[in-house]
Amino acid sequence: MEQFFNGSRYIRLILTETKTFRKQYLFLAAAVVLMALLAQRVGSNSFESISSIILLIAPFILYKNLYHSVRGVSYTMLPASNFEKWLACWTQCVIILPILLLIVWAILRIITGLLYPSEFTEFINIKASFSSYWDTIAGQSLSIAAVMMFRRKKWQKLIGVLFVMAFVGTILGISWMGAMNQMNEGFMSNNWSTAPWIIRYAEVVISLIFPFGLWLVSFFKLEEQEL
Amino acid sequence: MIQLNNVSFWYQHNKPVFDGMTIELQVGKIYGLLGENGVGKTTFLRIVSGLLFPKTGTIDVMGYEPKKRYPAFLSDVFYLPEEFDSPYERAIDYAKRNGSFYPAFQLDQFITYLELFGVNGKKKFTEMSFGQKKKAFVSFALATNTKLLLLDEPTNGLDIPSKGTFRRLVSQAADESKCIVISTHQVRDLELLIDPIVILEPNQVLLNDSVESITQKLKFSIEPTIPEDALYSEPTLGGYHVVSINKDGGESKLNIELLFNAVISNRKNFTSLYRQEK
Repeated sequence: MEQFFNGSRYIRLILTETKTFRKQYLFLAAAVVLMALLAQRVGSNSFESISSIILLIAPFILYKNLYHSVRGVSYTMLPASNFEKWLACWTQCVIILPILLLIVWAILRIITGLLYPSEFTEFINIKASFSSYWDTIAGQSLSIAAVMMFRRKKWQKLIGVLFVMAFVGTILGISWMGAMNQMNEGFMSNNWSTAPWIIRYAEVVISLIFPFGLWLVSFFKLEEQEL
Repeated sequence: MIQLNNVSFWYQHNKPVFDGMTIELQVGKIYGLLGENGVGKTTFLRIVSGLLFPKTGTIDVMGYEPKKRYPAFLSDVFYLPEEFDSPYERAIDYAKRNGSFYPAFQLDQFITYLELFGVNGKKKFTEMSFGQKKKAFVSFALATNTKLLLLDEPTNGLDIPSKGTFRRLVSQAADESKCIVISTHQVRDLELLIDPIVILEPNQVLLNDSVESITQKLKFSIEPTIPEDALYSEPTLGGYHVVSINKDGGESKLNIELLFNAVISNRKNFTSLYRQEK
């Protein structure tokens, strides 16, 4: 167990990483402030637009050198387990960065309230914020998987994979629609009544893959990477 | 300490770096890892440290399989690559932060080593020259007090006085519980430090022997003319440096550069010589 996870080592790793990433965190927080200045206000959903984009691209910024043959050596050789390193990455992307963005957002929201009191009906829409946070985290799991799966050109490869997936999805969708059109009216109505079950089943599978499946994949990819 | 059995490794399948390589490195020694460019010295160090995984064969390093990268293994191994990243922080802060992961790390030792090298620990790595960075990393590597220390071209970029300091610090750091492996082309810098000597050839280990054993087998001399039984010779002032079989059992001083050149230019003879000895 000690070889797999040690709380003290994990905390030290988190502190080490947070210190290493301090410049990147400042840069990402500054991006939120800049967008707020351009829009002149921030809304009640704390994870809307810019924060979500930041969470999606953060793994590429923070862990771009993970498998670099020169820059990645000291991190890979750091005495911590692969699981601790993966969990530290997960903590940075899923917990620490969102908290930082939430704090920046709260400050900006207070300023917005002071500047536009008439527009300020609620401080935070918890339901909408949590929903968009979870959707973003689900999408971000793809970024984390790409960071841990690909050695070089990580985001370019992810875009390529997404493009292929979209292409295959479109082809399947068109084929599905074509098959539906060829069917008779009665069958169509029967099929439509069963369609929600398929969709629900697909939704469950997708919600397991994004994020849990991809987090699992990213851990196994981290374990087997060489540099 | 380190045991590689029948290890094969390649970056491209049709160009093996190692092909069924077997070698044992023992504790309490400072190994000099020599070989021509591209022969696989850095790859060897990376395989032993767990950064690269063998394609076939088994590796045992201090009872661990390096590819698993267990914390207990990593906390007893330090690999200093030839090229390294420059952290955007002061050397002293880097050492404090990263040193906490190594149970035997001594901050006092690190500071002392930095002073001996003449490096200011309060400087950021990004403000240091390549040589200063190298000295800081060498100081950190030695201060981790790991049982296995893997150094890739550690004297590259060091000035002449620092090379002397390096030799002194490494010889002080070495003890019966440690194994230090130094990959180098600068054999003259480390001539009195490294023992045994490992020479790699493409795909294989050509020689892995102690200085004492080498000088028992081979004679290094300066002769006015090239003897008939010379394994290797090269001209020098007033004659020839000669490597020949030590038939009379006399003592001679090992010249590592000469040995390396002799081995590389005369692979077949040396391979058969070592096979006969075994």
